[in-house]
Amino acid sequence: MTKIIDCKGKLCPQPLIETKKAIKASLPGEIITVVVDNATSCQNVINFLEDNNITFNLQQDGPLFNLNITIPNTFNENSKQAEEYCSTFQPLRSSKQYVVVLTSDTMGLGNNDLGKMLLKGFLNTLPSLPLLPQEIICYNSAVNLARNGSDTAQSLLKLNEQGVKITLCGTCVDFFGIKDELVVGTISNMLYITERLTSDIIVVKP
Amino acid sequence: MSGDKSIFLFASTRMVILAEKRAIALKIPYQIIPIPKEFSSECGMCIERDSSNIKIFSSDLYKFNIIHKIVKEKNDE
Repeated sequence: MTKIIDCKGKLCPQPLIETKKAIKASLPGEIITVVVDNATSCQNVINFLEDNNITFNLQQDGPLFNLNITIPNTFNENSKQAEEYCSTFQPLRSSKQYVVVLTSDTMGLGNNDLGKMLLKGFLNTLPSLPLLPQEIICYNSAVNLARNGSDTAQSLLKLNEQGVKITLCGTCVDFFGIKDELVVGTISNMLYITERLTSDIIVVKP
Repeated sequence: MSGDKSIFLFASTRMVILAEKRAIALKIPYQIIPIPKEFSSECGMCIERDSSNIKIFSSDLYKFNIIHKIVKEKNDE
C-alpha cells in the first residue's frame, strides 16, 4: 500500500523535511505519495528530488499536488539543507523548461471565432498549471492579447506576476499601433526572439 | 477576477462564442475557461465571471436565445 505523507497546510521546509524522513524510513522500490497544497512547497520538494536523482511523478488534483516518489536503492542525500530549497516564491519548473510562442490571436487554423476562444481558454488555464512556462513570446496578432480590456491581458498579467516573462514583438506592436494600450509585456526585437526560438529550450506553440 | 465566481455553461461551443460577444457588447468582465471537471468530464469551454449582476448578463443572453445554465464555484481567494 502506498504510504501517504500528508503535508497539506504545512509550509516549507516542513514538507521537505517530512519527505526526507519518509524516504529514509522506506524500502527501495516502495512508492510514497507526498501531498502538498501549495505550488512553492511542491516545487521545492521537486528541486530536492531532482538534485538527488530520485524518480517521481507529479499529479495535480485541484489545489493539491501529489508527488508519487519511488524510493531509490541508495539514497546519498546531498549536502544541501532543507531550508536551502525553500524559496519564498518561484514559479514551478521542472528540468524541462519551456517557452510558449503565440503567433496569432487564435489557436489553430480553421474557424476564427473558435480559434480565438480556444486561445483564451488556453491562456486562462495556464496560470493554474503546476509547470509554468519560462516565457511567453507573442508576435503578429498575438501581441493584441496583451491589450488593455482583453481578458487574456489579465491572464498574461497573472502569469507575469508568477514570474513568467511576457515578450512582445516590437515590430508587431508598432504595426497594430497598440503600444499605449499594452498592460503587460516587454517589447523586444527579432534578434532576441530568433535567439530564444533557436536555443535548446522547449518551444510550445499551441 | 476574484471572489465568488459564477460559471455559465452552454449547450454548444457556438453558444459560448455568441455569449462572449454579448459580454463584450455589455462590457462585462469575463473569462473563457475550460469547463471545470466537476461540471463536465467532456471537453468544452464556458464563461466565468464574478457573481455580481449575473442576472443582467443572464437575461441579456435569454433575449438573444442563448440558452445557458449558471453554476457557482467556491471563492478561490
